[in-house]
Amino acid sequence: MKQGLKLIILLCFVSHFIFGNELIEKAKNAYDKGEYKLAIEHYENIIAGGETSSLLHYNLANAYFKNNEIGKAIYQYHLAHKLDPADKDIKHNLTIVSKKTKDQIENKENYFVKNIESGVLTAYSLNGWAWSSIISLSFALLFFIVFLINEKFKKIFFWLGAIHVLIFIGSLIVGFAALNEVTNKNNAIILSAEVSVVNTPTEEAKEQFKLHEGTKVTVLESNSKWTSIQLENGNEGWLQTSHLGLF
Amino acid sequence: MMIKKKNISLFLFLSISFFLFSFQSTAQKFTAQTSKNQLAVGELFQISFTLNASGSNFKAPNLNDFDVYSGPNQSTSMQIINGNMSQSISLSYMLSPKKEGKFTIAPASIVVNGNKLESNSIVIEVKGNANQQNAGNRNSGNNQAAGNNSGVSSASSNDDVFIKTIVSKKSCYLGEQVVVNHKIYSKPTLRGFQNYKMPNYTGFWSQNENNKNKQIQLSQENVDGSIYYVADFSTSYLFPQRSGQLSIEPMEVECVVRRKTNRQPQNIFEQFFGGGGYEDAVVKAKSKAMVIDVKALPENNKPADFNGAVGNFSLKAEISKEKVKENESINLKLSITGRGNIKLTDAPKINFPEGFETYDPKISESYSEAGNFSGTKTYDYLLIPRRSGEFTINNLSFSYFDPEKKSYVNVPAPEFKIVVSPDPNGSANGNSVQAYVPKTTIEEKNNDIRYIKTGDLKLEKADQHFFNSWKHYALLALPLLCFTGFIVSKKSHDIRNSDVVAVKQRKAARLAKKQLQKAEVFKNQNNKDAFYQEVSFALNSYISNKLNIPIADLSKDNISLQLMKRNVSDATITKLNATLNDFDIARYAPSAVSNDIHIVYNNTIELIKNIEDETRA
Repeated sequence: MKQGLKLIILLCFVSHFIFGNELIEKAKNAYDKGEYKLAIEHYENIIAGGETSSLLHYNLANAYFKNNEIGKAIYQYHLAHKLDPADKDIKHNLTIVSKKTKDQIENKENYFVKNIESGVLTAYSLNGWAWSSIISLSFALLFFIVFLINEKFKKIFFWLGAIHVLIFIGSLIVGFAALNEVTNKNNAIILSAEVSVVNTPTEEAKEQFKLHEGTKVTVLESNSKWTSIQLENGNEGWLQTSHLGLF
Repeated sequence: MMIKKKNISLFLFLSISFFLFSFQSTAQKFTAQTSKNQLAVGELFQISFTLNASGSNFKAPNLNDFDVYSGPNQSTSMQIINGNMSQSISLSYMLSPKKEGKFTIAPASIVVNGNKLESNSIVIEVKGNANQQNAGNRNSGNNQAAGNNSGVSSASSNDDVFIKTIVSKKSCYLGEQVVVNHKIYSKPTLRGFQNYKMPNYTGFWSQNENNKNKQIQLSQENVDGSIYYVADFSTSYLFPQRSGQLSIEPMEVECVVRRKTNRQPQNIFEQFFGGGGYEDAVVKAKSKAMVIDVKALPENNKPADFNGAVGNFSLKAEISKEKVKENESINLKLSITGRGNIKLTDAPKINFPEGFETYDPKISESYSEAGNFSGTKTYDYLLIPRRSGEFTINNLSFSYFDPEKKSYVNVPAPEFKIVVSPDPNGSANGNSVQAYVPKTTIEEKNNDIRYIKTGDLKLEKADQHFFNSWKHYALLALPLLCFTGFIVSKKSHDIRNSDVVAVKQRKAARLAKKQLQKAEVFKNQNNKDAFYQEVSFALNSYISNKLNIPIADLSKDNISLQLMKRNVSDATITKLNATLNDFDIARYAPSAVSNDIHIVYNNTIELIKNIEDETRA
């Protein structure tokens, strides 16, 4: 059933795949030759075509990094990580590239709680949560059917069904939280080499501090021109949205 | 050669006078004399106080206006002329005026036989500066060329005394050894040196030859037809620390020379022994500054492990053991021997295998300064393998710059193979040092990003998430629909199954069919007995099920009555009764029935079918 549906989805986008695959191959060749600018161009074209995947963002991030564009690389890694939080290559490269940023911000938040929270959210990708809900529901109902027919082990099958109902509910709750996380762009990466953070969203505002390429900030409020951000150490300020990559 | 100041105290001298001439009270005279009355600042002169008797409690006059170079120096003389013994004691000072002007040296006093005697006072006139007065007119013509690369400079403060600075090279590479030699040339006899000031070798790292305990060697040399005394005063080994024009500042020294005076010998003895006509004079001498052109080391072909060594070196590496157990120590000895700035070089970098505990090396040095600064620097490494296995220490080499060849030289050391066998009582033994293997993870070492993903990148429409989409809900609905279908079908199933009689009636025909199939087998075998038994059982159980009457209660009346109630036609009932009759006869007397079993079989099926049709209608 799962395979069948996947096939249908694949068929839906088969035209895009053929178009995309060609560019992917071109980009890979450029990357291998060290023509990172060309690789970036190809990958960006695929994205501009309205398609996306964690692997695509990952490859683009690698190309940006090799082209010494740390800020954009980190931004793309975060996009990839968001789409597939479980991928180890993405995490690994993100860790390495993050070390190259200029800003070192002390984290004042409770890391432990945050880690658990993000750990649960990132255990599966969003699709993973969808499949998890479907499979757990199917199993729950299957166990209930067996429970109704079977004479001998009624209790066992009832509890098995109940557990799967809980898994189903859990998957939906976490899935919606993850969906919220994905659709709401609550984080951002500084893309410009150096940015002044000011205290009010006006041109004449006073500079509070400077941020550098690749630094991750939390978005509090954003419009097309100005974005209010918060650093991990609690500092807040405004900067122009054009300097940011929101995700 | 330094003048030995006779520091025997006056008190001691006077108290050990062993001749008492107390009776000789005639003509006791205490006089002061000076070698010069007119002189320049810095010029040396002698003042002496002479007593022709023995005395005590000598009090020197105030000499604050002068530098005292030596003194009081005492001398005694005794004369016996015609049985008359006379003696004299003389106390002398070597002095040099500090400044210009007219000075009066106050009388000295001494006690002789309880009488205090005073000497005469002396007036000294000081004019001009000794050094300026005599500033050299002999700088030219003194320079000796000592090869292309060397330079000599001399400066004299006096006609007769000058310093030559001899450098081994005027142009050199950064870090290359330059030997600087200072020689003092003097026409008059050199008696000693004082107040010497060695230059600050700014920009150089310098090693001065240890001349504290060394006797300065004097030789004679002919310069422009004059015989000079030459003192090899000092040798320094310089290693330039930066490139560019570095200057060697002048050195200064005050030489004490013995110079002939115009004074006539005081007596025949002075004349005889060559004394009297000479005096000690202090002459200041200063060398000329020199400039050394220091070239930077070439950048191309610079080895990666080059650490600034310039000269000519050799490398020796030794290892104490090649086969050890875990936690057993190994000594690795690296010796760098050669000529050059060896003292400034750092230990070569060694890549010790992982799992080896290493300590900072113990450094021992020995140097010699015979004309060149050379020596041996030894690095003693202590290694403790904490893991068993085979290890190699390679890439061990030492690089230096050879200024003569003008190129870098890399001296490789042999490769060491170390076999570490496991320690049998290793970590279990509490006495052994716990293994410390640095926990560097592979991730930390690998600082490059991983490669891009190849193949299918699983592209999807952006911002279209499967979660919360209609597909997601459709797939969720699917099992729910199945489940609902199951529940519904199960419910109707249960309802129908709840009426046992109805079920039995419904199933009667199906059951009969099954039993007739068995009969058919026997029919085909033409087994009449078995056939009739089966076919009779099938029909009876069908009627029993259909009419809900136990088989035991079946009777023709009973059956007819029940069938009539269910609107079964009389014809069928009559046919059924006939068939049942035939079956009974056949069972008990099979030979009496001549009917073909095929027809019987078909008739039975038709009969059941008829009853089914008519009961349903």
